[in-house]
Amino acid sequence: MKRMRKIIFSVVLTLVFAVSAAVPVFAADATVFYDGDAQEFIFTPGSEYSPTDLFDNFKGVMPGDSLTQKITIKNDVSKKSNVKVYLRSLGAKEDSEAFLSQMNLTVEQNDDDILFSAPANETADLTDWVCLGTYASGAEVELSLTLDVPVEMDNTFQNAVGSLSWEFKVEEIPTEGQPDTDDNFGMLLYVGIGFIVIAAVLIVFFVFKKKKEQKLEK
Amino acid sequence: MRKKLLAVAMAVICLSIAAYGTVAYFTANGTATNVVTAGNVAIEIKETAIAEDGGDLVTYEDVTGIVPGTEVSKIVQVENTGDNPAYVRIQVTKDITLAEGMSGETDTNLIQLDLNMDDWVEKDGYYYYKYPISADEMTTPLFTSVSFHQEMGNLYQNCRASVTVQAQAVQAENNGSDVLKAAGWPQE
Repeated sequence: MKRMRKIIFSVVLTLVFAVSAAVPVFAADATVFYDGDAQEFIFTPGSEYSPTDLFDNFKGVMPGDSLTQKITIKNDVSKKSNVKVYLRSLGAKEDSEAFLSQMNLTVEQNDDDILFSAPANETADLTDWVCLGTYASGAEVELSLTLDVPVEMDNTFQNAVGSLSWEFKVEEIPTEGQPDTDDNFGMLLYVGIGFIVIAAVLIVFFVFKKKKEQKLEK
Repeated sequence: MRKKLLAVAMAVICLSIAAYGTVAYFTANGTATNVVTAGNVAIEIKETAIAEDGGDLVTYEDVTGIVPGTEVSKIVQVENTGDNPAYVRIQVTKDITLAEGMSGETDTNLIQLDLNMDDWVEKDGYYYYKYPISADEMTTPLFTSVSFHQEMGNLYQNCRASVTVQAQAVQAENNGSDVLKAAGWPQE
């Protein structure tokens, strides 16, 4: 009887796990990953419309919707570096303007700092590069997006598709030693050279001065 | 001479600092093209009938040679063929056109429908389906048969009777707590 109970329990447990595993996952967060080795960005999840699409939750929007999307920016640069992360908007495609102008997009950093709040077709406060901060290797930056679609949006926009582009930039900043660039001359080297040259000039100056004085004495 | 040397020294220092200032860090750019798409509302009226042999449902086709007291199978449903949940309403219009040479006042109440008022509610000439229907789902039938009353007299010989259904839909999301509170119906 005890064995039977165990078998039933394990079957039920297996079924529970099987059912829970079959439940689809909705509202996926998007990720912008900066691969430090390859020095390139990887955008996920992408979509059937664009391989770099970050707006997974903004599909099939309906009048009156207020939808949210989280975007996490990650990096795996060398531990000897920090990264400065920048963002700017390149705006909407020309044929997307009418549709995207219907709705308002808000972009917040870490849920408190509003970077952008304007019709989705505009570049507004993201026209120029905006620095999202300087982060250590492995650190994450989170952006929270809210798309508000007015209930007045009419039938002409059924099945409409709108594209808008965002450009990300990172700047790697070495945290120890000299800047890790192709140029191997560091600041100390330049300053050192400067002092050596100054010292050489001063020595030449004093030697000439001394010789001049000696000549005058004679 | 001393001034010249000082100027040279200053220039060297400035060049050293300037040279340091031009050292560039690694930078990389990437562009994400983000896409917003709009949903839709689309429906299709499904008119079917029970096959004469009493088997499966078949597509409804006009029936001829009807006599008073006949009940014709005609099942009216609405399918949500769009991508988003929708509320649905149907307007039913009954009409009788008398045969040539016949004259008199017709009574469309002699054409009777077995309306399903459990799932549908009537208001202002429309039958509203009480529940939102999800994409690819179908309403229950508004009616399943059309009956021609026994009292249809000779006036109706060779007449043409029609039952026309027109369906409309509106999004169910962000649109009231039930079908009768929904706004934005076509023609409003």
